[in-house]
Amino acid sequence: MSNARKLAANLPTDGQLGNRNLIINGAMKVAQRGTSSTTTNGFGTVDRFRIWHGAVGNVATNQYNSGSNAVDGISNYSFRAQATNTASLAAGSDAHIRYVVEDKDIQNIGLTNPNNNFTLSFYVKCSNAGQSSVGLASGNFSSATYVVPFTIASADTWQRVELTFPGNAALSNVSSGFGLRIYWDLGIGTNYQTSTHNQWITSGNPFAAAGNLQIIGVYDRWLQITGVQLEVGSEVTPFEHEPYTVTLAKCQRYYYRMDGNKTTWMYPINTNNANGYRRGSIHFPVTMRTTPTATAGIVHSGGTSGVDGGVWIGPDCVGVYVNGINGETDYAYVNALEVDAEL
Amino acid sequence: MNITKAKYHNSELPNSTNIKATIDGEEMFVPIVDNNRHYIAIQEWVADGNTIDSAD
Repeated sequence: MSNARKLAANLPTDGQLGNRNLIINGAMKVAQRGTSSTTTNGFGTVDRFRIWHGAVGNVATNQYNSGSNAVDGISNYSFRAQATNTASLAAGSDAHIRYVVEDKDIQNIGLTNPNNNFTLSFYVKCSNAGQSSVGLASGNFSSATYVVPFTIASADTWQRVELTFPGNAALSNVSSGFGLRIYWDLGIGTNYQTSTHNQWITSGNPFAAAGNLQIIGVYDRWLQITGVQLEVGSEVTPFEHEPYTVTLAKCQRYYYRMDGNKTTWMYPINTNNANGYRRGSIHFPVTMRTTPTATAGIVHSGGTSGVDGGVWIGPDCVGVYVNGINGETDYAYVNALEVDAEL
Repeated sequence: MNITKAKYHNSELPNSTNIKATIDGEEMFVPIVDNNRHYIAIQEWVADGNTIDSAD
């Protein structure tokens, strides 16, 4: 059978045929912040996937290029978390990779109906064989969690994991744009572990299985994921590819950075004395999820600079300023901008 | 998030107030918007007994 015929045989024939994957950047191709990071809590490398060391130990993360060892047919890239020290796992610690689906993007699942199903699939590779788990949580985290253990059959070997979940009424509790939370365990302490699997739990907030392989806190252990897909229904379909530019634009709803362009000159106001002003407005390539936090690199030869707030910033653009600048002799421009509207 | 400093800030324009904060060692301008994650973190930081300094 030809490859084209094999592909056709695996494609869905009903339901939503395009835009099935509710995960943004599931192939880990976009890393606007950089390809490596020692950030222990936050977004350091791959867009939309957050690392959380949870006071367990130090961690390095990468947009890892596996080259010839990448998952065949998915992506050269994966999100990799690697422990860089040895530390004990306290009961209240919680190291994990987290992805949050925005509430607006998940309404088609019908999360609150227990007769509806949705399916998460991903590829995983780990330094060690053993048990791990995925935990789901309601948007507000506290209303409902669901834990599914899975077995990493062999060390240093890609395998696909496919998990199907039912809806639950408690999932109506979204919060500040958080629609559904997905956690991959890297070292979650006993306070958040459970032996109750494959059902929604509405008290205690456990989000990892007991007996999992610990990654962070065990020097040099690592775990990689890629090809992450969340889709309506109980049928697992092939990973849905999309052009890089499409994924990048989706990511820029949550984060955007402009480096070293020196293209945004600030225009003068009140140029007739030594206490003049400069103002600038930078429009984002994509309307962001909400008004973002901003960090700007403003280069100027006098005065004081910063980012405007209030009505001078929104999901579409941001205002920047320099005050107390000599209107005739000084210059001002923006050479870097970072705006963050992540969940 | 590790918040070590927060201060109201404006650019002398009307309705331009935000919060200039140091979060995880980085200085950033946080809008006063309820579903911004940094503003949510600052609110939690205040609830823990910390104070946002007044603007100059």
